[in-house]
Amino acid sequence: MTTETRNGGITVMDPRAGALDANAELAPRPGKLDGKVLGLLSNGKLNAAELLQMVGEMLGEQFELKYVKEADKPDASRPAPEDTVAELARESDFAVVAIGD
Amino acid sequence: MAEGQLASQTFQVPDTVEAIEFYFEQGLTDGLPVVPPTPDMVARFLDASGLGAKDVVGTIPTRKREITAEKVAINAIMAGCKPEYMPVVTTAISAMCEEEFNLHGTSASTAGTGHMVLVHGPIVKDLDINYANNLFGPTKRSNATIGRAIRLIIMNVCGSIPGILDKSTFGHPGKYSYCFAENEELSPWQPLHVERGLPLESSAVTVYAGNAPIQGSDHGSHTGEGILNSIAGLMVANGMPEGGEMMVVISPEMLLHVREEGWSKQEVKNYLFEATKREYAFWDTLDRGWSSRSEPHEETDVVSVVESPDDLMVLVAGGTAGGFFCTILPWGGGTATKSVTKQIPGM
Repeated sequence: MTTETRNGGITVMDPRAGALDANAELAPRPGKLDGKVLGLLSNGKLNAAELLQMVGEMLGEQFELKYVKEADKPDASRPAPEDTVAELARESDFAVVAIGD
Repeated sequence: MAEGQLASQTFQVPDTVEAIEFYFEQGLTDGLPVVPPTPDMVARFLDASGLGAKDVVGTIPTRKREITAEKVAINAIMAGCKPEYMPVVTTAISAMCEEEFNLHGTSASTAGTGHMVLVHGPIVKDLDINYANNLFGPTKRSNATIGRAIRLIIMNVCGSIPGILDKSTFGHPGKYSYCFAENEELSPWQPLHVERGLPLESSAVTVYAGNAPIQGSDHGSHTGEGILNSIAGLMVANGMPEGGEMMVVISPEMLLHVREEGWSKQEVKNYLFEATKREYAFWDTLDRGWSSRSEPHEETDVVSVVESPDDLMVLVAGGTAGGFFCTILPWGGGTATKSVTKQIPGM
């Protein structure tokens, strides 16, 4: 039942699988946030919108944001629709995603 | 197939006992010892699956992971499966990777659901899968290891390690293994896979993100309605009208009066649908974090625990003695997962 190796031991296999793009790199950092568009993506969890609103206000106090782009996930338990993510990526320079649990 | 076609990393260990300890040390088990997966065994399991090592059984896009037949085989061996269980395991994984099942959400959520594999058709007897006494407890190798293989795949291949990507608050014992079959002989009704359009003689699996079974009993009613009212009571006690499915497993004895009175399964579903209707005001008082459905309604309007009788999966299984039944609620109220039934290829 087992595979004998030359030194009398056995060979066994790795049950794990890594992510397909484990070597993906982070997007370029935005640098100074002044003049930038902040994206906020609420995942629809309880209080997620309130949490994000507060984050937006705090960032707004610290930086001269151009404006804030808000988006919602219709279902907290599923990925955001591709259109929503694409629009957020197109319009905003950086984004914050809330959980709110 | 040739062992040389396998792509997984290998490790050299002195002997079988050391190998078992090695998998514990690497955090690759569910807390129980595993069978060390050697390349020759992996090749045998792949032969039994009818798949090539690199064949993709399913993907979990949110995590950008592929589940190859080779990884299914390795984890199935570790779980203690026999090679002939492979078609059940691969079909179950394939079904769980359908978008509507939502494998990512169901295996990450704090709600901590199990990943049930319900097996249908002739393969139930071929593989000796239990559908009788101690249905959800320890009985057969097939029940214990097929469900365990699913769990190990979700942990090792999909990355749902408890505390890391599996954030279950409680989880439940079915997360060790959650595999059983209907008692198709003692049931007066069509099995679930036939209800869903597959041939009676076909073998299939239904996967369902199910919470722990909640048991109820009725040893006093002498009518079908009495029995069904008991079942409805437990459905209301634990469920919420959030739009999800619900599974009801009825023991042969519990079903006696329902069977003798000639109820069809559809009639049972319709009755339970009606008997679980309550006013919005009732559901609101349960205060389980439920937000009333968004459509306009009065507090005195009534709504059932499921949206439609077709959202009920009604099965016959369990030991022949005892007037018991179980309700099995879906993950997170069922708003973001649906059960999936899939025929085992070629069976």
